Amino acid sequence: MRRLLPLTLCLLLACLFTALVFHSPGYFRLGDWDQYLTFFEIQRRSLIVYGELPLWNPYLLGGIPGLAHPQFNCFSPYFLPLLLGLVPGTALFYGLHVLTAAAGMYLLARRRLQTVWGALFAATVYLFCFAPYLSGGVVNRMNGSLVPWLALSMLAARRNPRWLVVQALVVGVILLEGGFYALVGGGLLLGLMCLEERGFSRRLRIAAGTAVAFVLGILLSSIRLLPTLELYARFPRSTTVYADQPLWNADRLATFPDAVAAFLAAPAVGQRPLLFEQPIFLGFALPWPLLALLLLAPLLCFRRVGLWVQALLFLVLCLGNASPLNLWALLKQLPGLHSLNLSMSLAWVLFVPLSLLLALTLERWWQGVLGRARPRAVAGGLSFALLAVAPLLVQGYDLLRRHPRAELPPSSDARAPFQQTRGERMAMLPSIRANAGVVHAYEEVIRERLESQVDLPASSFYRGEWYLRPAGGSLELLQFRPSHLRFRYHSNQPARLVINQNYFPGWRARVNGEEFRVEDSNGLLGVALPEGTFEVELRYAPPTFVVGRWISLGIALVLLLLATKVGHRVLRPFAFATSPHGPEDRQHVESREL
Amino acid sequence: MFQPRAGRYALGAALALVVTLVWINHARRAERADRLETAQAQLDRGVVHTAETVYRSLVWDFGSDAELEARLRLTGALLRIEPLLAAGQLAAASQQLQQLDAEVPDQGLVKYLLARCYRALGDGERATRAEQAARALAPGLFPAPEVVR
Repeated sequence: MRRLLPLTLCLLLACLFTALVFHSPGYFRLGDWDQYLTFFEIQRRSLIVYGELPLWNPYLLGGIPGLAHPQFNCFSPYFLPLLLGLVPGTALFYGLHVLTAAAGMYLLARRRLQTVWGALFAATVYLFCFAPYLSGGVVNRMNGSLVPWLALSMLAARRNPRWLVVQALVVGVILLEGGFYALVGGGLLLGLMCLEERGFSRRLRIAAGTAVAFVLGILLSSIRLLPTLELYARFPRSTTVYADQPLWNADRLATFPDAVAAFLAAPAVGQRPLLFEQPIFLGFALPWPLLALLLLAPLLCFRRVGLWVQALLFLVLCLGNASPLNLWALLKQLPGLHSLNLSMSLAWVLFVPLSLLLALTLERWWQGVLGRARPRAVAGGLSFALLAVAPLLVQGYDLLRRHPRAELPPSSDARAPFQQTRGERMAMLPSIRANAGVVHAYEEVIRERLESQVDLPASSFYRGEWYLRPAGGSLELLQFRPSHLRFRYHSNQPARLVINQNYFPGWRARVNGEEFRVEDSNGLLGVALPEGTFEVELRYAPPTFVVGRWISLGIALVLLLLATKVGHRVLRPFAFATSPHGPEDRQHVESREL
Repeated sequence: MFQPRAGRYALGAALALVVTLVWINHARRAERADRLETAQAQLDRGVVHTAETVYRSLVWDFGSDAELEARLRLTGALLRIEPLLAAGQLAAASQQLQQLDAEVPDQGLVKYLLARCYRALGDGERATRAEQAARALAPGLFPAPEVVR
């Protein structure tokens, strides 16, 4: 019961913060929430209305791959609440991430700190990380809240190797939510944590175990990862954010302290277009007592070199061009990483060592004032309430106050499939709720390449969502699903069936059961058909999805097996008989530092 | 109850709080100045709407003061004048622009719009003077943007 109490507190905290923030559905008008609600709704519609996986997204940009899209996340367990409804489901989606983050950070901090309240303090500080993601509406980056679980599972696997299964699952879920940056950052953090271990052999075992878990996790996400890689291979990303930036820029030294303050404590959370001449993601609204604690940290926790290295490295990465040392200039030179962009996801990684450092400092401070034998629970609990919980709730209230209640437009029934409208930014949500689609999305990855191929109903070139060329025969729609269409076709001459969707490899056609090729017809989907009367079936099922599905299924079975006693035997080489850390980790740290 | 060194710890915390307050105060001033500069740069490119958004966010984040109120009056007036220009009501627009120019003398965009009005109204000499002033204050307006927004 005593063990469950802190976790219950985490749950209460998560519920309170979530309820406060989601009190008003008008909150969804902020930032990019409309965009992500659109993606949620498209996936829901595919699953619920049409009863199929959202492999193809016909509503945006004239039709683009769905599941492969970095923002699609229907395979994540966090997506399940969305099946209940868009707005309550989104609140639950967010709330579950808050709970996961709080619980993960608490359990991780219990291994590094001496007191329960210290661990709760670290967990609460970690929740400050959510604020700019909320106000920016960058739902796709909330997968970073799983990073503490990556670290926790690595530490726990030293004694119980079956935690590697948990680590693989966490890696898989992060990738199923499209968290590539969170995973790269999390991996880097684990690498640095691994270096903290004593002895080459231990480091090697931990690194090997983590590598195995990462490989299993990556393979587990194949069902979504392979189609995404295919999409990116066809439409490579490019970014100019870090172009021509030097590794070291002394001019930025003058503004560096101000940039750090703005990054951690800006009064209004969210992304600034430009600050100190650079795009910067900032504003966790940390209250000034927490910042003072951060200033005390070098004095009270100077021996925690590992934590300092981790915190400083990720601070520099998060600040990007606003930092004098710009590691992105270096990272972009590495093969496969040339399109690195938007360091905002790495804030989840930064907040792991940062929360630990702040909690450690507070513990040390109370020990300095009261001594170790004194009842620290009261003092610690009071600090926890005043320094972390209260500011967090004030922050939630402030977000609510800035964005007052506003009702969303009512949802309407699904209308004609594939229909798209040219929507303004703020009109996206009502538009998708009316199943009208939106052409002006934000997808920079492929917009430029595909938008020109969209035929709008207003255009003089528009001939319908499906038609025959040359005209003359008859075409009757028998079944519509976003990635599965059936027609009855009749023509006295050979004709081409054209579907008003962008051409993309992976579409297959069957005519009376016989395979036909789907061709690029001026950028649209086209099938050359002979004369006669046939039933034509078009289906989008890219080979990457088919292969990925089987790999994911196979790895899921392997993980199930590894979770049993068999797994304990198989994974034992990655663990130690007795751990120098673990629950005794705290005593170990105490003996070294106090 | 307290450790012998408790005083030192309390003093350390008090010092850290003071340093934090100074640091945050300085950082907020720097951020405010930087955002004001960004808004002015937008104005000098003729992007009035964005500049107004930045000014409003500054009022929200840092509180209102005389300077920000004056800036918001300027952007508000420019946004009101824009439909007059679009509708070809140049006399009314130039009258309002002259008033604005008297209130806020060194705005390149105001000079630029004045120059356009004067030229359309046939006052070449004043148009040239206003254009020279606009070029000096806001070279980013030349060549002219298609839409002043």
